[in-house]
Amino acid sequence: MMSIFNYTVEHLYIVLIACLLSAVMGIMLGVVAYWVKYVDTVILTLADIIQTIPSLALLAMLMLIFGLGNTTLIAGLVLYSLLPIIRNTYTGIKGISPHIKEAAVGMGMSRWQRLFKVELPLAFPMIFSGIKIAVVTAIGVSVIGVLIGAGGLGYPIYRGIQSNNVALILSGAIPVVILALLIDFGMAKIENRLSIVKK
Amino acid sequence: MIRFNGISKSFGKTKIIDNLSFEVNEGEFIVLIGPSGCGKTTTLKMINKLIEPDGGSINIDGTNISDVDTVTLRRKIGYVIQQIGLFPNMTVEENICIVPKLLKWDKEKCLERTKELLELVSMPYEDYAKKYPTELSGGQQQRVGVLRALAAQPPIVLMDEPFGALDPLTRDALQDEVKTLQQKLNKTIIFVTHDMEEALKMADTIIFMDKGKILQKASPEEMLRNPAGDIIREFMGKHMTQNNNQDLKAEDFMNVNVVKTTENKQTLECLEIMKRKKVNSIIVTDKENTFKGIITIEDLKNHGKVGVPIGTMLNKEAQLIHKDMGAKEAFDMLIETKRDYLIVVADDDKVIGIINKTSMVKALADALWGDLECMNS
Repeated sequence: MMSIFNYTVEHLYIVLIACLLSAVMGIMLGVVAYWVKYVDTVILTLADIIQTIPSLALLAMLMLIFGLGNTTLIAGLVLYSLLPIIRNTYTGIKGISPHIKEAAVGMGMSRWQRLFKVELPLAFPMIFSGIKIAVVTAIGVSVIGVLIGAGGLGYPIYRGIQSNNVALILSGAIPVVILALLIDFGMAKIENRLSIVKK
Repeated sequence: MIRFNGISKSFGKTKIIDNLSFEVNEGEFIVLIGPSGCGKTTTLKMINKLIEPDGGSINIDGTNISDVDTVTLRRKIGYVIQQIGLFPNMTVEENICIVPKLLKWDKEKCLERTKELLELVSMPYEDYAKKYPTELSGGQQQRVGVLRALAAQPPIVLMDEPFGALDPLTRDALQDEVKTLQQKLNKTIIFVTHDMEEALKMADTIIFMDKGKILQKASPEEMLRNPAGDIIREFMGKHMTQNNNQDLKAEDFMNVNVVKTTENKQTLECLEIMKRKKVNSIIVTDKENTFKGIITIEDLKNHGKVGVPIGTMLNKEAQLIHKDMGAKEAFDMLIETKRDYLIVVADDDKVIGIINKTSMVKALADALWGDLECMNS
């Protein structure tokens, strides 16, 4: 059972690295989409398209570039998690009342000052809920990483399928479900708190 | 000093501002007013470059603002908007200190300034500084909005219908506060409103705009007296009517509670009426209300005999005026003839009222201070 704990830690590690990277990239892309005219449709459509590629196919394609192992899985998860984060960053900032933005402009804030002092803080609850969706999805998707030689809880599941061992399958599947539920619950709590403060 | 030189602006094909030129002196409270779509807000927003003109130039203290860095310019101009626009993620103190912080004031100076400003609007620092905007009432929020605009001591403050969304009582209080602040701090304020009452109360100078042009630039007093056009007169509404008394006629302010009697009444009856109504003369008419004369208490004393109808001793010396006589003429006549009252009659000498000194005073008071109920008491 010690090994299940190790798989869980590795699983979480992969998901966290992937989601951190995709949060940074996603927020940046979301801000660019908000700032630059016409680029918003391009970025959002691309993220949409990536989302529609079946996860197995996406990983297979990435494998051609990154080879086997955790790196490929992380790259795949990053691409997969981008959409909710970009979209929520973009709509979060877009949705801020125009009067607040006008006040910020009229008071002489530069574009960056507006972004960091006003727009991102106000959009943050929305961005955070995008990150939550990304993390929870990534926990599920990363299970198939075993097929491209990555570690994590996919490994006991895959071994269990091959050896027709239900107990082994469950020893991998149940931690995945628990992880997803716990993180969803925890982040939803934080999300609630954030939106209360902003009201 | 702010000077607009031939400013024009179109949005698409619509001309919003049409060759606009005017000046604002230092320390002047200017109110831009006009119907919606007249270009007043556009004019205001050009001063802090939120809107760029298509042609012409705006100079502040002799410098063309298009030569000044936009961000630097805006930090020197306070800006208050109708929707208040406080940042909900910042406390009252943080909101007030935004521009000072952008200008790199040190913490102590910011703190001192916040305290000083909150003091000005009677919102103690201890009670309010750490609150978030949503914890304040609308009036308090806009007070903070005004303070935020004043924080970095800008010489110019722009206000875009700042009190439009507040309830009348709060609006009234804030108008007074802002006017006092402006006089105390000697700020140049450009204030946009569509409320003439607000304009008359606040402004040193009112600029009335319509279709992107200035119809009139005048002091409130002057605009009330000589509005340059029907649209301004219409905007003045009730403020105008009380000052526009050229058409006032005798019948508009006469007293209609007239003590009358008919000519077949007898002496004792008349004395009785005089006693009851506390008057010393009675207007006498026939049954159709046509004027026949008056009878005074002296007439009754000198000629009256018991049982004699008063028709025999009528005094014809009363002054009749027609109901269409102008107010001024009627007043002049009342004073010149030294009579107690004038009798107002309709076309066929039917008595409809009187004008005495009381009705005159009431009419004057009404012209000065507005509608004081009616004159008929």
